[in-house]
Amino acid sequence: MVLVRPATPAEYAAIGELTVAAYRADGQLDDKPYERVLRDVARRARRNEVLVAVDEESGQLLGTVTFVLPGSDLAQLSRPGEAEFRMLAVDPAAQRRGVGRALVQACLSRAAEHGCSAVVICTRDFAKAAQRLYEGMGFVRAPQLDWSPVPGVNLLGLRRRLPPPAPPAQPERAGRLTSSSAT
Amino acid sequence: MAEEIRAEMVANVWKVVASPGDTVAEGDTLVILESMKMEIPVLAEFDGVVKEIAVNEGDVVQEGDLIAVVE
Repeated sequence: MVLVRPATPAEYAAIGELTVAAYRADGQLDDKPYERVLRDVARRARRNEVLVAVDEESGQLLGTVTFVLPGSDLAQLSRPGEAEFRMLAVDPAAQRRGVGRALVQACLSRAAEHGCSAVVICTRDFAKAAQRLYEGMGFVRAPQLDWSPVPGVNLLGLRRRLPPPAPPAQPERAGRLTSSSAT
Repeated sequence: MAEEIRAEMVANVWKVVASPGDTVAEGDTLVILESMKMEIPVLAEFDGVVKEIAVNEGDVVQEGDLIAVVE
């Protein structure tokens, strides 16, 4: 089973290497430099929550993602009331085991805990496997979030709406009714 | 001659490499910006001295924001 939990500083070096390996395997380091940023996990943990997926039995590191809220240094898409995640990476040797899905799910749960109405992300246009994962988890294309930081790098925006928070439970009113009927 | 270097996109200031007073050559990296899926070095466009670095690590810059002045 895959367990997702916050990363510990002792894991940062391994997380950095895993992130670079995953991006490289996906062809995302071929055209533009990004490796130094991907490797610097301490930096992204400064103001954001770095999560890891590990094998529950062996403890082996399988993947990582960084959960980002608006106002953080890494926030680039989210507006107030939304969340985003970045630097999602799965060890190329651990793919097709639901690791990416578990990491995305953890971000959705955190966003819901923060009362967010949506999670917004973007992917490279050629990252078809990632897009299939996201679309299978309720993300829909949000073309207004598409952008191109430099010519040749085309990013596709995706948004996953979150259900509104459940209406407050009613024990208070029930309590009042109970007490009024008791008097 | 002074050159104002401005951000060309929304980005996060990932690393400040040069300091005011540094002598830089054309092509030297002053600041490294991080944006979605890439890192973007901000380079000196001619030989000179760094007069000002207007950003700090962790800052978010918007398109057009001043990053550095080289003269």
